[in-house]
Amino acid sequence: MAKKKVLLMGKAHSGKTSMRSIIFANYLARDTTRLSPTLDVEHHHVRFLGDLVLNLWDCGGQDAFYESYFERDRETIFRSVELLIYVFDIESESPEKDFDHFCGVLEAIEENSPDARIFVLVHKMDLVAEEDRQAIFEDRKRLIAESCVSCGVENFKCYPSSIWDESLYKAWSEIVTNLIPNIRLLETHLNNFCRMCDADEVVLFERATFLVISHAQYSSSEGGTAAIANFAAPGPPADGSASSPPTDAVDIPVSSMASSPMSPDSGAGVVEAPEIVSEAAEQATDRSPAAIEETPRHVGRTPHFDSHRFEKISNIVKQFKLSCGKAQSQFQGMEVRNSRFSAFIDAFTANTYIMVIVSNPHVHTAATLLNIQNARNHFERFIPRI
Amino acid sequence: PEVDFNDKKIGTLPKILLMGPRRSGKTSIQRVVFQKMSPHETLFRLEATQELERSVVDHTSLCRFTIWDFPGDYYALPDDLEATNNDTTNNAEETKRTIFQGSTSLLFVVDAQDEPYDHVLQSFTNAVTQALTVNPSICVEVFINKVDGELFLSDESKYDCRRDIMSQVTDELAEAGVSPDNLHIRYHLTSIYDHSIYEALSRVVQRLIPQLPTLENLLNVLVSTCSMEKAYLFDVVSKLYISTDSGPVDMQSVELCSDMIDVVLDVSGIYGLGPENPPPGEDQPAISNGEGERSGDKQLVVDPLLPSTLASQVQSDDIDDGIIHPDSAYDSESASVIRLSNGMVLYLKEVDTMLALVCITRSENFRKKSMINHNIGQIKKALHALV
Ligand SMILES: Nc1nc2c(ncn2[C@@H]2O[C@H](COP(=O)(O)OP(=O)(O)OP(=O)(O)O)[C@@H](O)[C@H]2O)c(=O)[nH]1
Ligand SMILES: Nc1nc2c(ncn2[C@@H]2O[C@H](COP(=O)(O)OP(=O)(O)O)[C@@H](O)[C@H]2O)c(=O)[nH]1
Ligand SMILES: [Mg+2]
Repeated sequence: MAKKKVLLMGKAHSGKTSMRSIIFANYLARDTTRLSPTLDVEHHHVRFLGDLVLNLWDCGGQDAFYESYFERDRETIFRSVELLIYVFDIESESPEKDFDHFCGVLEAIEENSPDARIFVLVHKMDLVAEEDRQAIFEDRKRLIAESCVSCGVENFKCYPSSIWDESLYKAWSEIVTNLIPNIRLLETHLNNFCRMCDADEVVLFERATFLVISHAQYSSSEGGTAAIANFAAPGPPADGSASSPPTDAVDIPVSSMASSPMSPDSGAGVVEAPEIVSEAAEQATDRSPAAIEETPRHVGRTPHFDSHRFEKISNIVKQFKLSCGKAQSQFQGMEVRNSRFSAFIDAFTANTYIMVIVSNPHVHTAATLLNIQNARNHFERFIPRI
Repeated sequence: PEVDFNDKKIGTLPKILLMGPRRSGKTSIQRVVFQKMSPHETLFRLEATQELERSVVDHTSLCRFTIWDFPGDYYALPDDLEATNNDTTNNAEETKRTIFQGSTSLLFVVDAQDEPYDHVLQSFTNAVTQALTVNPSICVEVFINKVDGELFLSDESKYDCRRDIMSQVTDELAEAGVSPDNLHIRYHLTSIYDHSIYEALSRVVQRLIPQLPTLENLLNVLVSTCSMEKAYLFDVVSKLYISTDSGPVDMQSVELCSDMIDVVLDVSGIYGLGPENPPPGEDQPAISNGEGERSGDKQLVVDPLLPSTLASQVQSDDIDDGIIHPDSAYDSESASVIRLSNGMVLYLKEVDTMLALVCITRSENFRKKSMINHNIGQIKKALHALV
């Protein structure tokens, strides 16, 4: 089990506690108006991906506290910090003082935890008119960069955020994925899974927070396209009824993981390799090249999707989880479809949810569900347990 | 776009009259439920209503009505209402008739946080007596609004408030000589910050739907044949349920179904919107519906200016066409399944333009999904025949 110390700092009333409560304690944005100011430092242990414990230090932002942070408690606060999250309130009445504190914090961090990763959030962006947001954010970011440079800090990341929209999730996803080792390996496996499912995209969410930890996208350059949906005749209607498998037999699991590129570490673990339904493989062995040519190719629509979609989905699902809570139940999984797509959001490994988006009408619901089912154990093995 | 309220098609629709004192929340209610304004936006985006504002709600063919949002002093009527008659003595009469005649719900909004209520309830009595002279069968609904915040943390405090208002209304009406036998008033505790406003408005709207008994019967049959726990018909745009089977309604489950609609529309709005420019190779609708041709299907009409029909109101000239927007996230294939840990399944399926059947069923009974789909298909046909 790994503990990571995370400092959450910024002036009083900048929204630190609100953010923490929404992300880690399932608050609704509107409930945050009832929060009382943080006095001194509040410690919170939040679990992430099961075994990763974030030791959040929510540091009250009133001036008086800063004096003690910088003087008496300097070492206690700033020692062995893995991550600093500094919050700027865009509506601050005293931006100069905010920057003074910011520089003070940066210096103390450099001195006590030179390896700490630094994230700056420019918060309450909802209060800025939409058309000005980008410009005002860029401007603020430039000032922040100047401060960092003058304090000798080279690496930092800066995000706009607001509890009233999806930007909060975006910012925190970026922050938290930074703490996950081997994230690249996970991505590779997710990419393979995406291709095998003929999915437009696949997204992995952390279970408790619903922050995005990894995603994979359909990509024509990966060579998956040629084999996708080469039906000579239209497939069955994608009406989700698992009870009537089509005669094409696409539902029969064919390619086993062992021989697929998804095999994690060749050799070990092959025995329990799950089976993945791959329509592509089935078609390749089954049909003559001539038949393949005749059929219209299905093209994934990923490039056209909204760039904030993952955060929106996080938001949507978390809201719905809260609704379920109110009705004394818990959400387990869902399918949503219309004529253009099917989305599957399901509890996946012990610490994750998965979302699979399929727009190819020839991919049967039952096949996707089976694929998700079969991939569970496989992914369980290397979704980081830290 | 201007809606012509002199048009007969619109003039004869059922009406919901929003009346009540200034700042009681009439406009907020209308905006939150029918125009998707977020409740906290009403704090700073709404100004006092200066004159009568009318709008049409016409998302789904079974549920069409107009909403009349009156200013706090509701006799400030717009010119076109009065211009119909030059004779000033008849003028007031004429106006009264235009307002109250026909299938009408007088929805009186009281601000629960603004005591005392006596003055407000006097003007309520006024409105009711006026209405009764023209329309003895008018539905009267009192919305005790703003039951939220510090003053109304407990349910007890809400009930106290309702009791208080009910007894005052009874006294007032008795004094004005209105017999309680002639009038059935319903009271609703509401807040735009929670689901109560949807629940209350659902009940108001149901009263205005002539086919309600038939709908209820259809749902009763569905629920018993498929062993479901509960079934609702929802207008997906307003999230009001226009009918349910006659089993008891549990507020929490309605709310969950309504939240499910949000999920379906939001997720579909991200992944299932029609591309304005389809990506290369995808030059035709991707799917064929396996049911063959359905006579009830409407022509699609392209309007590139509207991103989707979800937030906007349908314009007056569309009133008979039941237009499905090609880029709408909610279409004839819309469906959703949500599985819960308590063994329940929520199942949503499109049954008409912007109309969804949402049912709650045990997972063991959901295994017969093709039977359920078949029966929902029957309901769909019956609904088409109804309008
Ligand atoms: N707390 C609370 N405030 C509400 C509620 N409904 C409306 N409000 C607030 O009440 C104020 C007045 O709302 P309006 O909708 O403009 O009131 P109105 O009845 O249309 O007022 P007039 O147009 O002047 O007659 C706004 O600030 C709303 O945010 C509610 O349910 N709870
Ligand atoms: N408009 C707006 N208000 C916010 C946002 N985040 C927090 N707030 C409000 O700011 C106030 C102070 O937040 P709080 O979390 O207590 O600040 P802290 O002192 O930094 O912990 C609360 O009333 C929140 O509702 C935001 O993104 N936008
Ligand atoms: Mg108003």
